[in-house]
Parts: sequence; structure tokens; C-alpha cells
Amino acid sequence: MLTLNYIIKRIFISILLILGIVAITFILTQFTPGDPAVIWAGKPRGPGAAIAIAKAREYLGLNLPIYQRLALHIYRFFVGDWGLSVEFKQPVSYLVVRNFVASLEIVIYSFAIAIPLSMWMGTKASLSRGGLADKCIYFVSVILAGMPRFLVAALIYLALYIVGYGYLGLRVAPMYTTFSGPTGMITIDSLLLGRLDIFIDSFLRLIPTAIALSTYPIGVVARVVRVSLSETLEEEYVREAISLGLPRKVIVNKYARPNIVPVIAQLVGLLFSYMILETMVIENVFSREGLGTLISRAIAASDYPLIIGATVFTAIVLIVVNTLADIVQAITNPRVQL
Amino acid sequence: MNSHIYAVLHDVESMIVKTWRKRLSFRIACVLIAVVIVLAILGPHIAPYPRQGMGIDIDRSRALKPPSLEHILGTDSLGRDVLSRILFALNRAIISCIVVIAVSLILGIFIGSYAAIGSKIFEILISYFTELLLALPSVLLASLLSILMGGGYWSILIALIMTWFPWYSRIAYLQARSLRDLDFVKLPIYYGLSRWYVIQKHIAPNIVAPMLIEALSDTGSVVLEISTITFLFGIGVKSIEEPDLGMMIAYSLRDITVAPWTFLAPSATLALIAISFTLFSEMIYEEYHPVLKKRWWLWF
Repeated sequence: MLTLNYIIKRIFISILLILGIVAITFILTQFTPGDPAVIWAGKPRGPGAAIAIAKAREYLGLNLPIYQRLALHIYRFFVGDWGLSVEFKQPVSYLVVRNFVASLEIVIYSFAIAIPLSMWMGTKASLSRGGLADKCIYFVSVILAGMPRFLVAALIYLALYIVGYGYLGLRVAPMYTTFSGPTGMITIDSLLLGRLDIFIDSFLRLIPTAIALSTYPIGVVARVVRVSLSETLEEEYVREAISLGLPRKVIVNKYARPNIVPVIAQLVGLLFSYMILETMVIENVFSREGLGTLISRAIAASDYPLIIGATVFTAIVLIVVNTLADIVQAITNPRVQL
Repeated sequence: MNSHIYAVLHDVESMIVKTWRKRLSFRIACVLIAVVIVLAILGPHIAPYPRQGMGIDIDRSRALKPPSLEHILGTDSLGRDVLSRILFALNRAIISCIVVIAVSLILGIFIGSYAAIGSKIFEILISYFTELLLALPSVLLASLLSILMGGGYWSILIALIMTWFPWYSRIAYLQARSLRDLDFVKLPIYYGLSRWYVIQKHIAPNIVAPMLIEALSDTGSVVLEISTITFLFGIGVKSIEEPDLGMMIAYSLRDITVAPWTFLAPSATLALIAISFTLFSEMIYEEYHPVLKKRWWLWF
């Protein structure tokens, strides 16, 4: 019951946070030096500039009082009208969601690789704490987490390039580009629609990027698993179980592991923000379509609506992920209270 | 005030000395950090080719030379000595990272401890506000600010400060909250001393030592993050001549198949910085952790 209470409170807070994010972007558009309409129109120059600025002024409602403008901004955001991209001449919401989903696909796959592997590594290390295996795993994870992602990605790219791996660059082979599905993640859509050829193609294109990205969560999660599992193994109830003579597998899997699930959930939520940054780097190295390439083109063109949309959307996804992590934590660990 | 600073430094020093005696990898990390900082300070003065390092002297005839005695790390696609470029870029990277860490540490300590001893409404507002800022992705914020502020290097620093200080304010808040019911914090407030005075005199000296270690460990990630942002979008870099680790890496990606040293040297420098700062703090953490400092001895 208390857990349900906590979950409801947490969801309410995250709705407030989302509203706060939208309001912050409004403040950024309105209270920065310079004419907001000029910035919104992408700092245009040339004969059409006056028309573009007038359009932007009308769109932003600059003659309205401030609270009405805020209401308009929030209303437009939830309706899905995030403005028109200056660079691409397409609705911002469409561009952002499409490219974000492309990046999210890599993040999901890399978590799917990283979490089982790092759980295994962390368990191994904590069961031989102070020993050779622990030291090896520890230094490998420090090095993996500390290496810049462009180094990892470029090394993988270089290795695949030399081997002659034919699946680099695009998200799918050019002949499948018209393919689209309900989620926007090509590997999942092709499975849902039963197109195995597309699945294999896009999966082979995705997997090097996912491996490159997964080095970061492997390094971080393995260390956290090692620390928290070591702490758990020192607790009274685990010692009791050991002294009862239960087999090692049962103790680790049934007694110690469930205790670190909330920690891992929390950590995945926190890592998410940094993973988006790393995904952009990897997309840049592999020259894949995604949020990174979108933003770099938008910056070159001072495409303000697009960047605002991308920032808000990413922030909202982060809030949702962190809320989910907190809910998982509350369910698995009833001691957590707000 | 001087005595407070002395006490804090003494705490940090005793932590470092104790770990130094016991861990080899901590010694290695410390030496590497010292070398990096010395190189960052002296870099522009000891660079073998300062004009190439600044990017003024460009000569395509000596482009992409492999490492030799003349150019220890080879030359890049515009014929500049990679070592000099790295030394110049290191200076800039370390200075900007120190600025980010110092400002966000000070902001974090004051805002966090003010939230802990201030009024209830302020506490709630601050905790939601920090959570709000934690949700903002630093890259996108940096790109937003670069458009608003005309693309200066400051936009990266401000974006990073805005996304890093909530962490410190959260830690400071949690630590100050455990102090606020103690007499030495309560009594001065009852006497009517101002809260800022109490924070400066009584709270900050008690929470700053562990946070300083935390900040030192984050230094590596901040260096990485700054160079990642410049690598991605080239924000704050006016031209390709400017020495910057992220930009150097971004431009050397094209030549990676013919001249891998132009890519590997700056990335390895970054990796070295990040890994040594991580090891530095992790080893202190491990030395002071009640469980981790012991060997696992149960056989089952």
C-alpha cells in the first residue's frame, strides 16, 4: 500500500518536472538577450528575412502578455506543435522523435549487452574480492569506463573496416529504406512484421555501435555490482545462509542478488543521460542517422526550434526513465519512501 | 577562515597519504595526474613547435609524417606537430575543467547546505529544481546556449556547470541535513546569526573534504565531456586552427586509416586523464570502505 502511495507521488512529481522543463525552455526563449523572433527564425539574412521574422513573431505571440505566451507554449508543446525546423522545413516533433528513436535503439541494445555481462563480472569480482580475478575485472572496468567513446568506436570501426565488414554506415540497406513500422526501431519493427531479411540486415548494422556504446555501462555497472554485492555478502542474513551450508549458487542468486536489483535500476536511470551523449559520439563516428547528426546539422544552421524540441524531448525521456527506475526500486525494496 | 582551510586540507592530505602507502595503482594515478597538471601548466612554454601548436604555422608539405625524432608524435593533416598541439590543448582543457568543477562545487555546497538549514519551502523548491536540472542533457543544453550566446566557449562551460552543480548540491544537502540537528549548527541560528555565516563557519568546513575528493574524481569525466561536446559539434571553437582535444580528434577521424597517430595520440591523452582521475578517487573510496578494504575470506 505504501509502495502504491509512493508510486502515485512519484508520477505526480515527474509530471511537475516535465512542466518545469517546458517552462525552462520558455524562459530561455523569452529572456535571453536578442530578439526572440530573430533567434526562433534561425537568425535569417537576405531578402526573405523580414518575412521570416514577422512569421516567427506571430507564431511566438510576442504581442500577447507573458502569462498567455507561457500558456500558449505549454499548450503547443502538449498538442505536438513544436514549430517548423529552419534547416529541414519539416515539423520538429516528427524529426526529433524519429531521430531520437534511432538513437534509443542503440541504447537499448547496449544495455541488453551490458547488464548481463556486467552482472557476471561484478559477481565474479565480489566473490574473489582482493584476489587476482577481482583485480583484473576491476582494472578492465575502469579502463572501459574511462576510455573516451570515440576511441572505442573508432577502434571498432577501424577493425571492421580492415576486415571488410560490409554493414557500416546506414541504419538499413538502401533497398529497405521505405520500410517503416509502428515503433520506429527497425530491428523491432521488422520482427513484429515478420520481415526476417530486414531484421538481419539492420541488426548487423546496429550491433557494432551497440558494442561500442556498451563499454561504458559495462565499466560502470560492473564496479557498482562489485561494491554492492560485496556489501550484501557481508550482511548477517547471507552469513547465516553460508553457515547453514547452502550451496554457493543458491546464496548468490536467491539471497544476495535480489538485494542489488534496486541499485542497478537506479544506476541505469542515472546512466541514461550520459548514454545519450555517448550515442551521439558513436553515431558520429559510424556516420549513422540519429540524434547526434541531427543536432550537428541544426547547430550549423542555428536551427533553434529543433534544438529546443530535442532538448525538451530528451529531458522528458530522462525524467520518465528515472521515474520508472524509482518505481522499480520501490517495488523491489519496500523500505524506500518519499 | 584560514584555520578552516587548513583543517580541510589536512583531512584531504591524510586521506591521500594513507591510500598512497597501501596502493600501488593509487601511486601510479597520482603521478600521472601530477604529470598531466604540470604539462598543462608548462605546455605552451615547453612545446617544441609553439607556432604549429597554436595553429599559425601550417605547411602541407610535411603533412601526416609518422612519429620520428623530429616530431615525436608525428604531424597532422596540415603539417603541425601533434605533440605541440596536444600540449596547447591540454592547457585549455585542464583550465576549463577546473573552472567547471570549482564553480559547481562552490555553488553546490552553498545551495545544498542552504536548502538543508533554510526554510521548508525553500528546501522543497531547491530539491525539485536540482532534479529538474539533472534531467537536462548537457550536450543539448550546450548547443542551445551556443545558439543563444553566439557560440562562445563559455556556452559549454555554463552548460556543464548547470548540469554538474546539482550533483554537488544534492550531496551537500544530504550531508548538511545530517548536521543540521547538531548543537553547533542549531545554537548559532538560535543566537540569530545569519544562515550564510553558519554555512561558512560551521557547515561547509565539515562537508567539504569528502566533496573535494568527489570533485577530483569527476574532473576526469568533465574533461571527457567537454572534449566530447567539442568533438561532436565544435561548439566554442572558432576555427580549426585552435588547439582543442575534441576538435583535433574530430578532424583526425578522416585520416585514421592512413595516419592513426593523429587520432590515437589525443584520444590516448584523454583516456589517460580520465582513467587516472577515476583510479585516484576509487582507491581512496576503497581504502575507506569498511567492506572493500578487507579480502573476501569465506569459502563456501
